[in-house]
Amino acid sequence: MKILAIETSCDETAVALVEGDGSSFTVLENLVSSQISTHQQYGGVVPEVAARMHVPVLPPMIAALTGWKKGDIDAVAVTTGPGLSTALRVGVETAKALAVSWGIPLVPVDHIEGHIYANFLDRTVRADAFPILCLIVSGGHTELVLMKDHGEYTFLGQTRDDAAGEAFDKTAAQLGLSYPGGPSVSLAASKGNAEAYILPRPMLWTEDYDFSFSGLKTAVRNLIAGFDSPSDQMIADVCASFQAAVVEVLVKKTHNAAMECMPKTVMLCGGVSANRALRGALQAVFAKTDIAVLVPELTYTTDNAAMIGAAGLRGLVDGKAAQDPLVIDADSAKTLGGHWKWE
Amino acid sequence: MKHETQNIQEVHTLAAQLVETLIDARVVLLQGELGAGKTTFTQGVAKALGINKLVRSPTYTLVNVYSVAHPRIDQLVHVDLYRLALVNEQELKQIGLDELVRNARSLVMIEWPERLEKPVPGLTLHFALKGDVYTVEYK
Repeated sequence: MKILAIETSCDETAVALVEGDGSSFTVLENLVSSQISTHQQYGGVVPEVAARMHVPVLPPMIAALTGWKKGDIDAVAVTTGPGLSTALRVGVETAKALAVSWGIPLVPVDHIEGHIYANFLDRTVRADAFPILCLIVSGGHTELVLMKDHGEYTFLGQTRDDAAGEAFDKTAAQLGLSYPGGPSVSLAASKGNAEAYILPRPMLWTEDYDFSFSGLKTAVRNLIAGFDSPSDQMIADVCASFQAAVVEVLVKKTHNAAMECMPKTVMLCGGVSANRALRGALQAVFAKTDIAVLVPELTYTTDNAAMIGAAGLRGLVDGKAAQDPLVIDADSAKTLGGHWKWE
Repeated sequence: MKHETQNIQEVHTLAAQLVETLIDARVVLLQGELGAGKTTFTQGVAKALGINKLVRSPTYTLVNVYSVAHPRIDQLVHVDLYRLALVNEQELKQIGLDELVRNARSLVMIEWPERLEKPVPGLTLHFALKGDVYTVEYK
């Protein structure tokens, strides 16, 4: 089966062609156009600008896909949420138009589920890889979710305040580093000493699988408030100490959850999965166990449509496609379907 | 009025004490630097209003809405404009904020109101954190 996928939930316009049977997924084409440089000029994302920028870019990007001919696309997949509603709508309306005019089903895809399926791209994940424990870390999410099978999610824990990616972004902003904060903090941290400053590890020892990064953000703030004019080395040391605190909490809670749930695989998902220190620490903690660790290819850590295509193909197999594409709508506050472990 | 609190628990207690004042104002603008206690304060308000859900930072979602069972309001609206550049009136409409602000049965708490091109009328709370002391000030 071949699916055309569209992603416009925030500041990336992305289209992809993905082929697969719902268990393995091959990326035929994957195009991403980023608006980051535009938003950098404004100092932040501007919803109206984000939406307006998707409009002229999306149709030519679809036209630029060459790996298909009329009649050989089985379905269209589109991110319906969570995200900025005006931005989401550009992708959703375009996808509806395509599905209606081609007479094929439209599969609504959750952006976070897309990040989970980024791990399945260009790989064969066999049925015995389940259950899979997913650590989802991005600008808006920090969650531990147990995936018993495709599309079956049990929530174990989440952040009680700020997401891990948000903590990276806000730390970068406080240190005068560039947006987006994840890569710039990570780069500075690679030149710093992680033991230079003692920062808190919020909720490290609690017995739940929840996280909290708001206090860590405040601790960084208090630390740098004491600096007169910090040298590059001091900034690098703060970044390294901060990153070590975030990584330690994420890895420890994931390990705790794995010891309770005994998954076959631990999967890192979301934008923060590009962080090398986090990848390394997660792989190290499970190195001597029977639990495999999967991290997405770096290309697929940031927002892209290939991951939406994979989740869409799976959704198609599981009967989640809308036969009438016109009923699909953007849902900015969409949550991953599933239940809490105590429900 | 100036309140000084020593820890998160006390920020929550203060929020609970101020709930009715906040509802009188209906729109509350939370000013203060990163980490000064704006979201923590809003969590305290939510708790006092009987909201059981986790009130998380709306930085990435922009607007979070919570249902409330209260004689004067039906919902708590938690807004964070941090990630946005200057917000003009058209954008206010697009993120749906203008409607939420007009709704007489909402308590709207806005973080980073500095991003608004044209100020929305409301009660302004100033947050600051020096050492371990959180201060909350309003007129």
